[in-house]
Amino acid sequence: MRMNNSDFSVLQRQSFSGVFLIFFSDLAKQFKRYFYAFFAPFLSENFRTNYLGYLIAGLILLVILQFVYSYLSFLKYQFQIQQKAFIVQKGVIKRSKVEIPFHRIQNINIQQNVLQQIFGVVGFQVETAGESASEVKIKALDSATAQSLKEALLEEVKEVSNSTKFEVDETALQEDSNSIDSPTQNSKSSTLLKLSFGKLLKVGLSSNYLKGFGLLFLFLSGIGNFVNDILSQFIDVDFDENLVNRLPETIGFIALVAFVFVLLAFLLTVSLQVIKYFNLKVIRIKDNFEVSHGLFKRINQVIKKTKTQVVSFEYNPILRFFGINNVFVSQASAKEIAEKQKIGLVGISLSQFEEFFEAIFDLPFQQEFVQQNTSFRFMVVLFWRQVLLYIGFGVAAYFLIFPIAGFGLAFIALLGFTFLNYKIVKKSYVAMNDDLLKIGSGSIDTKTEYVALHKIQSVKLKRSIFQRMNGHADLIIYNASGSHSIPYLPYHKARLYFNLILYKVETSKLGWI
Amino acid sequence: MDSVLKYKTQNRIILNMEFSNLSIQVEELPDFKEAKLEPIAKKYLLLLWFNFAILLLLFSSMLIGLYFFVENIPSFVFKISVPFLTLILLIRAIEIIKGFPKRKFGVRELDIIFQKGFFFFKETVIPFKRIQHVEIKQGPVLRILGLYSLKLYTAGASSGDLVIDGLHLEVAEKLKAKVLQVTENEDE
Repeated sequence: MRMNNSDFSVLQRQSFSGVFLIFFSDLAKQFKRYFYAFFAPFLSENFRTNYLGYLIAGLILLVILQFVYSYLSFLKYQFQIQQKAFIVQKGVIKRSKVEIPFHRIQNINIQQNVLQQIFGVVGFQVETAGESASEVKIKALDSATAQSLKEALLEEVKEVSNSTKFEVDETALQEDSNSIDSPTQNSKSSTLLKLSFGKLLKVGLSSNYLKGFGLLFLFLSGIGNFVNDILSQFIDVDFDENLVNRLPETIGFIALVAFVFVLLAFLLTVSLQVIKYFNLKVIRIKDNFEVSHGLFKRINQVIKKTKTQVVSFEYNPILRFFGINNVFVSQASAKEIAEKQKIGLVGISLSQFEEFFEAIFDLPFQQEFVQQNTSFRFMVVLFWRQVLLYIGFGVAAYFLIFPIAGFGLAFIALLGFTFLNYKIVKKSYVAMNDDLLKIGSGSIDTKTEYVALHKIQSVKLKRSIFQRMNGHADLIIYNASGSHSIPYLPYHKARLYFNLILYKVETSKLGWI
Repeated sequence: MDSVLKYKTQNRIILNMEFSNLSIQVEELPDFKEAKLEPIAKKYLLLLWFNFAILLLLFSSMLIGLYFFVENIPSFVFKISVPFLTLILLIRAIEIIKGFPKRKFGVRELDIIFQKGFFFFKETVIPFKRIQHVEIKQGPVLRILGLYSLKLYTAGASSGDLVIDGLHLEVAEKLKAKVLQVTENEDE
């Protein structure tokens, strides 16, 4: 079996160390599932003294059975490249055969998690358009086999797309399969972005700046109270022991606890981000990008031009200070994409983004847009949404501290939120030209999302009863990765954008997923 | 297909012109507001009131249960919850009465329109060629009324899907046929 490493036309099995990998991951799964069933008997003393031996024997037997089963499932898991499809046969008791026609193959990912690293194998994943049922995940291949299997598959995919070029002209699928390319063809690939550790640290710190500021604030207030305490030791003034006088200590203690919590949360999020984007590498292969990152779990993703739905360009004042930006890419997906699932190109410079933008959209980066801002009336709406918060602040301070503090705190909250609301409205807009839709949002941070017009799937205009009175509308656009809403546009303008988007989508001949 | 050609010639003009002129050009585009819309089946109103009745039943049984079976409930619980629940019901009722006449759908050459809602009036348009597949569905209550729902699926994330509730079978089938026909034309 090891002999014909690269001959995939005959049935092949996974790497032999895969047996252990499968065994351990199955065992972990079973353990998770039946943990309580095994754990419960230990609680009874009677059981512990009388039947412990049997239980352990039973467990050992189960583990052995599991190993046999894992070994069988290793034996029965076979794959092969046939005339027109990639075929996987699997299942010990219930046999199943998955067939993926070459033209349906969208992505091939090679990944390695911790367990796979231990056993020196890699995971091999074949992605198809949409349906997750027809996806294939091979758990354990040695890295060389995985690479040659990937190349062999890509070769087939290319051939299929070439031979059918004239039959399925201009469909999205066609473009997709054409654009899959082997990363080993060095002549065509170039590195777009390679994130150094220092820069990654900057990204981690500045992306969590709010927590950082909170930390600083708590730290300073803690120091202040500490100084106060020391001073009072020397001056030795005897206050009455009432709540107001004890308040500084109480606040000092609360601040300390909060400080520790926020510090932990801050360190955790920063280190999580550093672990996630460790050694981020973006390699350009023609107009597609291969992204790999991660410390413990190396993730390999491909950003495909055709599958890309939204490109979001984000920065905040601190990132701006460092001259770096974060870019997040959403691709077509069966589910609404959560923030975490977007492919992140963090720590990217403007010129790198320019290159990325031009490759993904096939347009020059300098674009002219017709822009429509959100009306400032939206600030009134935001105010009403937050009014309970102000009242809550005020009432809490009124009773807890002293009456005037209630008004003071409510007023400060009002000022702070009004500033944020102003920023939110100021940064919210929709802009459009012949090919692109640009959506702005953000408050302290700034987010610019680009959507190719022909990838929009439906449009919605939403008007509350108040908006109907004051002539405004929310514009909502939907594409294959989710929805985007632009609030409070003047109604007649929103209607123009609505009509123009529809017209653009309906006249477009380009594929959209 | 004629309209597509017409669109195309217009398209070229837009591509060539300066952006300062865009709004003028845009105003000549077909406006979705001018599309002829049809109301959904009148019987669907019964279903809305049926849902309302279930809500009413739920709320009142909750209150009655609290009153009779839990001892020593302070009276402010009722003083707050009764007006609150009444307000919710009132809003629902207004939404049904004022909102039902707004439930309308329409078909243009290249897309389908559906609108609904009183407190939040929503107008959705999906171009036919972005529809992946169409389904005619019927829930248990709709079955009693002899009505159907038309569900239009778009690709990928499900948030863009559109459901038109309360259609007669022949209307739903006509819509489905229309969608499929246009989608097939696009594929050719």
